[in-house]
Amino acid sequence: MVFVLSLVVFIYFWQIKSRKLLLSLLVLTAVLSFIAVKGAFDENLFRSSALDIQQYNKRHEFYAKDLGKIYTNKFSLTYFKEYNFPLIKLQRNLFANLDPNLYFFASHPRERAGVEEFNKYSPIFLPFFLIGVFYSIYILLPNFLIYAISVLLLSSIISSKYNLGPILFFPLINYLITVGLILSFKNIKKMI
Amino acid sequence: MRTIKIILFFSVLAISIFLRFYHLDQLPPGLNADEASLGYDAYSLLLTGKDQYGKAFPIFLRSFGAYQSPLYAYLTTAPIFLFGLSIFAVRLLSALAGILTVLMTFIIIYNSKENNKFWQALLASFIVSFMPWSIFFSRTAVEANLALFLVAGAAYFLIRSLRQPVFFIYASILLAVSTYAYQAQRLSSILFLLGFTIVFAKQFLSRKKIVLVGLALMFIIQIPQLTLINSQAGTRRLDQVNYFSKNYFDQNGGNLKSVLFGQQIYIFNQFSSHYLAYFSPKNLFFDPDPQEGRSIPDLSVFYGWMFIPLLFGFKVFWEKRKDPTIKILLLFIAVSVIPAALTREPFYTLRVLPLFWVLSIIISFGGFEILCNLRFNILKVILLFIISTFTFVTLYNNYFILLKYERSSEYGFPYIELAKKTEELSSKKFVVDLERQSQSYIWFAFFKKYDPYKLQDQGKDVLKNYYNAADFNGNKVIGNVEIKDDIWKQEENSCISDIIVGDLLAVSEADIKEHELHREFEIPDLSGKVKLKAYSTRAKGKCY
Repeated sequence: MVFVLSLVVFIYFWQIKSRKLLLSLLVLTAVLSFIAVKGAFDENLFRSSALDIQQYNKRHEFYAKDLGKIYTNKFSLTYFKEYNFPLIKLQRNLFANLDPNLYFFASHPRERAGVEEFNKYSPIFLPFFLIGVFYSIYILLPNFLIYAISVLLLSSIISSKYNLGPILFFPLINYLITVGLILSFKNIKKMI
Repeated sequence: MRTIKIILFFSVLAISIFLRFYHLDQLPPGLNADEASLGYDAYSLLLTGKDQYGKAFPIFLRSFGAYQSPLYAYLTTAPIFLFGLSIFAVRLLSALAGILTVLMTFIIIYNSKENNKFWQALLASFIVSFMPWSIFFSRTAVEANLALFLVAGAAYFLIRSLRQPVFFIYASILLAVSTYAYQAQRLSSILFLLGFTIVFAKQFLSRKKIVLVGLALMFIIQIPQLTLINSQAGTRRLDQVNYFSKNYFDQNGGNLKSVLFGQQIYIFNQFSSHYLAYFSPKNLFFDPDPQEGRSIPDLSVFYGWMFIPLLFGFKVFWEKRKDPTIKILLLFIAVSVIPAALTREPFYTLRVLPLFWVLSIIISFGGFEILCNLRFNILKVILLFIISTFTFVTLYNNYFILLKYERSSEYGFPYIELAKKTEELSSKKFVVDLERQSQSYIWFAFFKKYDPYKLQDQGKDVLKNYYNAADFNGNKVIGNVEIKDDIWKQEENSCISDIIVGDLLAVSEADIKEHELHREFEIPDLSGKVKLKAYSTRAKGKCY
């Protein structure tokens, strides 16, 4: 599924932007997202651990002491109690997928506690990945940006400890590496 | 219009001054051990011309055996002379360096070839002024912040040198001086100057003399440090933290131990992964520095929302990559991470401040690009207002509130309170356990303004081979306080009633029973957690 989606992503963003391909891209992404969310929805998003509760209680005291009525009003208290932790966890999941070391170096040197880390890609592909990233930023296609942001937002509800890793990102990474390889070979050809 | 520009410029400056000077002596609460050591060394240099060990005008400061760069301490003698030995005096130089870096940012961008250079420069300096990394390190006495200002100044001179080559010499001098400000600069400043010379070789072909003079001056200024390159002072820091040794490879090499050139592959992998870690969005925008003494609670080096303008900023930088200012800044990025990537620490923010500075500028370029693409001015104002408000609220909550409560122990708060207590009870003798805090003597020396001659007398053994005496011993006597590793060891025939102080693991219930101890007081940190406990011994009871 990841392989097929990678192919569709590459063909659509690099070559042909047809409606059929776009539909395939969206359907495949939706299916992969469904599989990932079903298998690894982060249930802790709305569940507070004992540590979370302890931290909340302590910080509640600190804010109440320093901020007074700015904090101890209904709006602030509700935000801090109900929304603050889920937002932080969403950000944690979101940024966890934006770590290139996760893909090329098994999260080294900041391995995550309690997670079985593994190399998703050989470090040999890193330079090509970086070329692909810079190229994509340089041309900044709106539809690519929208697709990437959508995948990023979807992945924020998937636990970062999922044993298959950030599978929603693999098609994008594959695309960027392929673009990097193509551009590198083109440049080498020019030089020869 | 000119008046508005002047008002805005001074407003940005005022904001950066306020953010760096507001309660500078109270936040962070206390001084971390390195700050206290720098401050006390400066105090000792001011009064005696020697550091705390009695070394006259040292090239490296031995401190706790890691050999710090000396420039910050030497320059801090001035604020200490003016304000006395205090937290404010010790941090003043770092705060000033932070403000000057903001100013330098404005000057560099304003002198570039940008179309809207005033607004671009204003935005860049505004963004640098409220960046978490900039505020955090400007409000603690860190040599790296001083080094950053010198490096920013050198960047400006290098940009000027492309039109007026003589500025190359000034830049070389500043870069050479920066190597006395922070250890990482000993490598990155040299690499940067060499890199600049190579990248802009064509411009300097007809001015070879100036380049040679600049490089020669850089070498000459380095001579005192170069004479110590084979000593522990010259290499200690790298020895402590690198991954090049056979020993380290044997312990961590994994499957590569059985592969041909396995160690070389391992080193290459380590370097690559560490280098990349400093560009990881996760580390830059979400996960703070793992060491709590170098980070703000729940806030990384940049605010999370800045990821978007960073992407746009890279686009703008790539489009303008032929501009000399942009080239120099990109060179900064490439080179400044190298010293940090050569060490084991996963994300040591202090070693890469120049990287954060340039990334902040890139973020400002990206932000400017986004604002320019917004059609209506009212939209720009609303967006700026919302983002600024959200950012300042985040900064206030995480830095001005959470930091003091959750990180007070990192700044020696319990020991500083203990030092005050020892002054109140000056007739009592205190014995402090150093088992898990071997550097604690420095807080007592600092806050009691202990006579430097007396402290030098206790450390004079290291003078025989000062630059090769990396093994550190924290056993000291500071007035009525004795800091030692074996708190149960008592002088013979002595039954003086001491007050024994240690952390929660220092004295067990069994110890209390055996030595008939009586709890005198407890010292909590600012979050209310007890960190130190003090017990008195009974002079008439058991003498041990």
